[in-house]
Amino acid sequence: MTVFILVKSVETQDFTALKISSIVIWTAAGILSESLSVYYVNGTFYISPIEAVFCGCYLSCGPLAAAICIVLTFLFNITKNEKKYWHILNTAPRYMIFNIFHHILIMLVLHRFIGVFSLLPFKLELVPAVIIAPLFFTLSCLINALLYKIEDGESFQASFKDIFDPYYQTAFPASFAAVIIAKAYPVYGFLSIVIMLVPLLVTILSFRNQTRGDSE
Amino acid sequence: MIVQALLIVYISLPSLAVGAAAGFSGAALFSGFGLFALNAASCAVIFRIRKRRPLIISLVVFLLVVSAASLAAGKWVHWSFLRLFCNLSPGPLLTVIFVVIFKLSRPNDFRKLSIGINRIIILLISFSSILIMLKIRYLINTAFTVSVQDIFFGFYEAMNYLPAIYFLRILRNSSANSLEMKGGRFWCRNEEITGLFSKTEIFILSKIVGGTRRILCRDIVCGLNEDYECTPENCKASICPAYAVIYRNVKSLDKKLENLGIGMIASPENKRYIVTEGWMFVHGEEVRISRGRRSPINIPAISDVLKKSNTRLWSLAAAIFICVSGAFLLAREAGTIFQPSVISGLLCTAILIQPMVGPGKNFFKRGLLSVFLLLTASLFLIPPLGEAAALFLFVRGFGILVLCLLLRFSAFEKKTNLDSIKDNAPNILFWLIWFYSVILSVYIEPVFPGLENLYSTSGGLLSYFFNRLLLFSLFAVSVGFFSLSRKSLDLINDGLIFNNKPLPLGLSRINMNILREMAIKDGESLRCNEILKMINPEEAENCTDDCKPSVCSNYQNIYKRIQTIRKYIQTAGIGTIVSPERKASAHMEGWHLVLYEDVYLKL
Repeated sequence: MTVFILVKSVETQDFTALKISSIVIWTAAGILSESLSVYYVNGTFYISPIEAVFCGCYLSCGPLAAAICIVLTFLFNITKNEKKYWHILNTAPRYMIFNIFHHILIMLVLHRFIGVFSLLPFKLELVPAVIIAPLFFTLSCLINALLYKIEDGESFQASFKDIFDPYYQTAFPASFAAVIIAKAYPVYGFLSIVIMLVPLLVTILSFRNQTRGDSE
Repeated sequence: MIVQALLIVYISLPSLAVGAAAGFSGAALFSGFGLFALNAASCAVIFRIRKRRPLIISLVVFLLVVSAASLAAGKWVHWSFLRLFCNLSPGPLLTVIFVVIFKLSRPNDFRKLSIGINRIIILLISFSSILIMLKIRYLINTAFTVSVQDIFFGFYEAMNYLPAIYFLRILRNSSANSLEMKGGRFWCRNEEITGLFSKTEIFILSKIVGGTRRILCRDIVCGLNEDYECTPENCKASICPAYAVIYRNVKSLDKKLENLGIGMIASPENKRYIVTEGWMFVHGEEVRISRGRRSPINIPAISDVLKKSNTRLWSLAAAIFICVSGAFLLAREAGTIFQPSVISGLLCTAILIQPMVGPGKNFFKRGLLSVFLLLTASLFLIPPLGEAAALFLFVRGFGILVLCLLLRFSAFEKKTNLDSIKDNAPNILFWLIWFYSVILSVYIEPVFPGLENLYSTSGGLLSYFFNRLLLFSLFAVSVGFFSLSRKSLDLINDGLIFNNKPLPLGLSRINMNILREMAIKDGESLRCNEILKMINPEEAENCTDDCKPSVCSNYQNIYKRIQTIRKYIQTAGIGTIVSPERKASAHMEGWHLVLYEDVYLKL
């Protein structure tokens, strides 16, 4: 399944159009966002704006660059949970593979969805981007809830609610912000990533302080 | 004083800069000096005003006069003065508004205010960074083909928010928790709290604040009574009468400091060492303890000022403003497509009025419906306007809607239950302001706005001005909203939940029950015999209306409980308990609970 998804994501893509600098910048943004994830509910669920970064990368650089960004982000990020640092060397491979390919799967689905808008008589770029941005993280929440149901036998609805509720307040606007920046990226490049990351990191850090205060 | 002087210079300097840069003509320079002096004098007067009503009126007059003066100078002296109005004054004026909001906020709102200021600081850093980077990149890409004057004003505008950030940081630090002591009196967050403590507690507090934070029993006893002989070697705390008194006072002081959020007084783990080790004052990391005192400021509640405001007038004024501006802007931006845009504009404004027609239970749903309809109207305008313009139209309309809602249904509406909105409002505001400022800067406005070109078309200038005014208003109102948000009080079985955080257990179970009964009564008095029924039902049967409180031990007990509860809820910022005017009839008329204006009860 994972090999199939990976092959599908890169088939018919133009490798020569890839810009290494763009991939590096978006990957760095992804690693930074994922490394600052906030764990809560006893460390079982975590909140990260990583979907916004991936969405922005996809909209600005295309699906191939986004797939590479996704793989590199989850390979090289370092997160802290329960006073322990988690990285590639001490994380179970199945979780890492799951994280990588569920995001790639979502990206493929949304890539097909965007293709529908090309059938319209007039050209639309922002509208489909604005629609798929929140869809990206919603689908991510659904797939994560499915994982918890399969692995731990928990109720799908309860898991989805637990993941979605504290998340949507930051993820919705963050994903829209990703759209804005992705559209500015071809013109302003690195500058647009900086513009996006500042408020994203602020909201994450404020949420982290809030969860620490609640747990104390 | 130095900070205030710097602030006055910061606010007034743009006038001088514009006058000097406007071609060095005599009239422009003179006008620049004149505006500089006007701004400086006005600010100096405003910062000296202590009373709330004159302060607010002065602020409003100042804003109007500054705006009118710069517009007039732009019209009749030199068009560069319009830059003052659109580009250079927002940062300084925002700072003035924040200073006034800070002065008018209640001490209990300072924590929220500091959080709000933090968010504004982040947004201003983001906005300022965007402007600076956009301009640098534009200059590099166009090989410096922009005029020197445009470059000067462009970068002046971009960097003019940085001093605002500095002054906001000072404000934020001033709103942090603090305990100040001077001359035996104490202040917490600029409010004097000396009256909350007994004489012994004041002595203990002055020792631990002024000294090494640790105090021994004999230090307190001998300090209060020099003739008292205390021999710690032979002291047994359990049989020492002086220790018992000191212990009670220390515990009482501990509870009060906890309720104030300043800190606590910790005992040693092994109580046998309490005579030798004493008590230790522990305060939170964010709490500042100082032995000096800044000049006190009279801090009334802003809600007192607006209590008598006519909310219908607010709604009507806002509705007219939205109708006119929405229709005009949509008509202007659509160019030749006049009629459909006017119709769309009227549709949007009619939708925006919806949430302002009374609160009601469906208020939130109607608000959401309005947002959805606004979005739909914006989507239909994509073909004539383009995606970016339509998106900006939606964001701007949403900003106007949020602004009107904040002004209309803020903490002054007791009957409006906006709990879910209040929880999400800070995030909504943060992202709305961010979106608006980014889209405006990156997509809509030119990087170096040549106002001379905009000036030739009144519609273009008005549109430019309106966009900036909306952003300015969102910044200003959002901080005011943060500092005036209402707090909820939950009475649960084993304690109090205040503003979603449990209060430290400072009330006994009986006192908690009394407080709950008063809260349930919702403003009606709770009489002495009703309280006695809760404490001792058997004694209550013998209680008659013609009893004498001065000789009744039950009344004395109840009176002390009422005093304890009153002090507790006052220090926690919840409310107070009001006694009848004639103390002699207190047992007949009873006491009733009054919550502070920004506190509402959840039962």
